[in-house]
Formats: sequence, structure tokens, C-alpha cells
Amino acid sequence: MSEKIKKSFSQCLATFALIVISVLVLLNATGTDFSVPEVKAGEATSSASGQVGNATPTVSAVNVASTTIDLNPNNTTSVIITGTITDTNGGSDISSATATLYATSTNENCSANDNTCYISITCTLGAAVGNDRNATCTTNIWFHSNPGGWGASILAADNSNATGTATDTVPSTVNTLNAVIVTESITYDTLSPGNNMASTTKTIYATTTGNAAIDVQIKGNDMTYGATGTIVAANERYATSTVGWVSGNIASSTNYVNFEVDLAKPTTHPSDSADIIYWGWSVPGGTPIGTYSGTLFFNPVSD
Amino acid sequence: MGLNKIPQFLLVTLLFLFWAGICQAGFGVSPPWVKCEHLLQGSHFEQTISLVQSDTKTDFYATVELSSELSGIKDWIKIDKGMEFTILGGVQQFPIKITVDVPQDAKLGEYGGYIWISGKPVKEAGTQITTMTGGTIEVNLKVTDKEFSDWTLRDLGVRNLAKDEKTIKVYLKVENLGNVKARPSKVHLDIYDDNHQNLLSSGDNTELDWIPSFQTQEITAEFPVDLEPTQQYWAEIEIYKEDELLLADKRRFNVGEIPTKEVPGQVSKPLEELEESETGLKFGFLKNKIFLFSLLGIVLAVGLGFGIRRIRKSGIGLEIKIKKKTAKRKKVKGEDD
Repeated sequence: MSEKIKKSFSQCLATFALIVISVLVLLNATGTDFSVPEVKAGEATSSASGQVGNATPTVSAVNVASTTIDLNPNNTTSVIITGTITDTNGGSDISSATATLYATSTNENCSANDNTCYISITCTLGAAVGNDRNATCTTNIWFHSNPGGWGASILAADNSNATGTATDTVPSTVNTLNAVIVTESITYDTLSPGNNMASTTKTIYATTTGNAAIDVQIKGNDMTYGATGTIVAANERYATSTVGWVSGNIASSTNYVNFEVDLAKPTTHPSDSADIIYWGWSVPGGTPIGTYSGTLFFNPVSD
Repeated sequence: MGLNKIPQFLLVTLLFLFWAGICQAGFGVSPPWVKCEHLLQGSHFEQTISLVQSDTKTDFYATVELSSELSGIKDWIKIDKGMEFTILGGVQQFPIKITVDVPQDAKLGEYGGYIWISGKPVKEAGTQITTMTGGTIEVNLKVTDKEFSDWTLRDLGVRNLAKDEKTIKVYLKVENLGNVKARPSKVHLDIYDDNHQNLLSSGDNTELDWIPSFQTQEITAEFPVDLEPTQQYWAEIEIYKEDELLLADKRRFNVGEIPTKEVPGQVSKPLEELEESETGLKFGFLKNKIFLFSLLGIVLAVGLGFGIRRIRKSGIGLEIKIKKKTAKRKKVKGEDD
């Protein structure tokens, strides 16, 4: 009988212990405070409680770092957007931010478009200074981004996923960029002196790599061979299509000359704005035999 | 893929192949002009222009020419880098400043032409005709006797104050577009507390510095304040052009040092919360003495309970009991005898 009692006592003790442990763990898991309130001698004790609500972050001082932006031809250009985020729950409550960079012809709610709108730009947050954190957001914009006013907005979130946003009140300017790339070289047909190519068949591709519609201005150096052989640039002729050599435009060696190619503003990358300039040459009678070389110059100019 | 999509697809593919095949150095100018319609006799005008390259592997030896149309005003135009300069390899954007100084006796009228930037040809082995790209800067100037006043705001902000500083400075970057001096007519400032609830100070400044014609300068509007140090504040700023409110904006500023706390950069939740969410339990109670002592006591009690049980199961306790019972029976039997 005594043995049974002892066995039962042990089992009860173990069960009780397990129950107590479970209760303690549960109480703690639900956040029950086990600490004993500190009581000072001579003071009446009372308790007070209140819940601190979440404050929505506020964004201010949104700014594109450069007041004017010059684009890089056929490439991207880095643009930095900055702003200040404030949260009265403390700066460390600010958790993330993203930015939008947009042409002022649209607005901050624009859809992604490499001509007018860059969205979801990642921001880096600085240290919490009191209730503030600075946001620095960097993006790369393409050479065909529209010229004119560009603004920015920053959307900030806190640890409770409350959000705040603000836009740039002093927009920056993306400058117009006239830019072109052309085929590196051509070789004319071999001719005997006193002859010319029947038509302009040698092609030079011109591609717009800026953010504006352009024409080109052209001039040429006289072609030379050795110390004395010279063929003046006027023997080189060009056109927007294959035409008879005599109908081509005469290359000038003194001034750039406007040539209407009407290259539209690119809208995508690689550039979707290109044209072909067709070239031919003649060799005056009496020209010494040899391989003559020269240079053609192409400058973009506003259409 | 629909049949009507095939030509588009081919076009895009061909365009890409074409572009890839001519991927050589390009050159550009931004902005590609020197324009001013409001020059007075004696005006000074400046324009900064970036010469930009898509390929910066080699140096670009530039020569500058003015078109014949500009021959009458060539003495007005100066380029800070001179008429020949080198853009070193690795430099993508090369700024040049073009200044125009209109003589006092300049004839009123319009002047136009081009400034050409050309590269020095580099002969490539085995080629007959090489090409070079450069830049054209369009010049459009108008000399007038009519005054023109306009300006635009390029930037604004508020500087933090030192602990004992009693003047707040609102800075404005202003571009004067006109041919006479100009300035904002008024800057109004309201200062609020950290919570943006209580207006602490308010004032106007109408005595701003003048910006010379065609210049961009930073000016400051100063306001006397007496603010508690080691605090953060809101500044609400209004900029006026004549009687018109041009812009209203707000900025944060600090007075004195504000405690700084490093926090992880772009995170959705602080690390502490992440730990909790992964386990679903809080472990702070392990630091509580009452809890720890209770737990220790319970563990000891449980251990004792299990210990007794094991002893009984192993038979040691039973042997003792049997010995005690045998001794007791012997004693009883002896008494009976």
C-alpha cells in the first residue's frame, strides 16, 4: 500500500511540475510581465497604462541632386534623388523608401517608360537622427530620356507598413542632347583618273544617340597620298539614296554644311533612329596612282 | 506568334544587329546652343555646355571653329578652354564655358551662327576614308534696348543651427533669366515643433540679395529665432515673385546635436522582430529571477520524483522494505514464541 502511495506521489509531482512549466512558458509567450514593480518608500503606488499608436512617416525635401542633367550619348546617366523622412515614433521606425523620377509632362503616378518615367528606384536610408532618416536614391536614365523638366517623388514606409510620400517642388532640367554615331570608315571603288563612280553606293550609317531629333552637318578633308598627291574634298559627293554621282551633294572642305536626314528622337535603346548617307567619288584626270585617304566629319545639329 | 507580328520582330532584330555592327565612338553636345534674346549693350552672358562622348578609351583632340556668320561678333565670344583642347580618355562629360560680352556700342539686332567642335582625324591602317563625329553649338543672340526681368528658383533648403545659434538661414538658388538684377520679393517662414503641431515662430524677409543679370547664385534669407537646442523642427517656407506665391514647401532642421542611431538600411523589419516571428516565442523571460528560481525548483522536484521512481523500479527500495518487513515479522514471531 505504501509503495503505491509513493509511486502515485511521484507521478503527481512530475505532472504538476510539467503543468507549471507549461503555464509559465505560455504566460511569457503572451507577454506577461514577471518583474516586480519597484516601490519607493513613502510613496503611494498606482498603475497607469496607455498604448502608443503608430505615426505615419512624413517625407520632405525631395530633390534631384543636379539642377541640370546632361545625358551621356548611347548610354545611361546616373541621377541621385534625396529626401528626408520623419517618423514621430523615432527615426529607427522608418524601414524603407522607393523613388520615382518623372518628366513633368507626366506625374509621380506614371507608368515605367524610359523616355518619361523611372519607377521603383531603390533608396538607401541613412542613420536615424532623432525622428529623421535621410533617403538617397540612385537610378540610371537612358540617353533618350525626354528633355525638359523632371521631378521626383519618394514613398517611405515604417515598420508598421504605414506610408508617406512627397514630390519635388523644384524640378530639375534634363538638357537637350544632340548626339550621333556613324560608320567608322568606307572605301570607294577603285577608279582610273578622269572617272567617277556611276552612283553613290558607299554607305555611312548615322544613328541618333541623344534625346532630340537631328540633322547632320558634314564636311570633308581633302584626300591625300604621300607628300604631293591630293584629291580635293569636292570630288566626294553624298545623298540620302543611291543617286548618280553628278546629282550628289558636294562635300565642303571649308565649312560644315547642313544635310537634312530628319533623324527622329530615339524612343528606345538601342536607338531606333538611324539613316543611311550614300557616298561616291571621282578621280580627276592627271591624278598620280596611289591609295588616297581622307576624313569625313559629321556633327549633329537640331532638326 | 501571329503573322502580323513577324515583320515587327524582324525589324527589331535587324535594328539590333545593325546597331551592334556600328557600335563606334559617338559624340554629343548638351545643351547644343548658346541662346539669349534679351542681351543689352554691355551685357555679360555665360552658358556652360557639356561635350559628351559615348566611348572614352582615347583622348579627343578638339579644335573649335566659328562659322562665318559669327565673324562680326567673334570678339564677343570666349571659350574658357580655348580654341584647341584635349578631352582626356576616361572623361565622359567635358564642360566648357562660353561667355558672351556685348560691347556698349553693339548694334541692336539678331546674331546667329555655329560654333563647331571637331576631333583630330586618326588614320586607321587599311582604310581609305575615316569618319569623325564632333559637336555643333548653335548660337542665337539678340541685342535689345528693352529691359527684361525674370528669374526661376533652382533649389531651396534650410541649414541646421548650432546649439546657441539665433539665426535661421533659408538658402535659395536663383537663376536670373533677365537682363536686369532680380531677386525674390519675399520669403515667409513659419517654424513648427517636432510634431509639426505648434507654431513657434514666424517672419518675413524682403531684403534679399540681388542676383546680377543672367547669373545663377545662392542667396540666403535670414530670420532671428530663439529655439530650444537639441531639438528638431519643421520650417514651412513660402517664396514670392512680386505678389504671387511662387512656391510653398517644408523642410526639417535641427538645432544642436541630435542623437544618431545606426539602423540597418533597407529592411522591412528590425532584426529583433524577425527573430520573434521566426520562433513565435519571446525569450526575455529567461532574464527574470523569479521565473528562473521557479523553474529551478520545478526541475529539482521533477528530478526527485523521477529519481524515487527509478530507485523503486530498480528494486533497491523494495529490498529495504522486504528486509524491514522480515525483521518486523521475526520480532512479532519472537514475541509470540
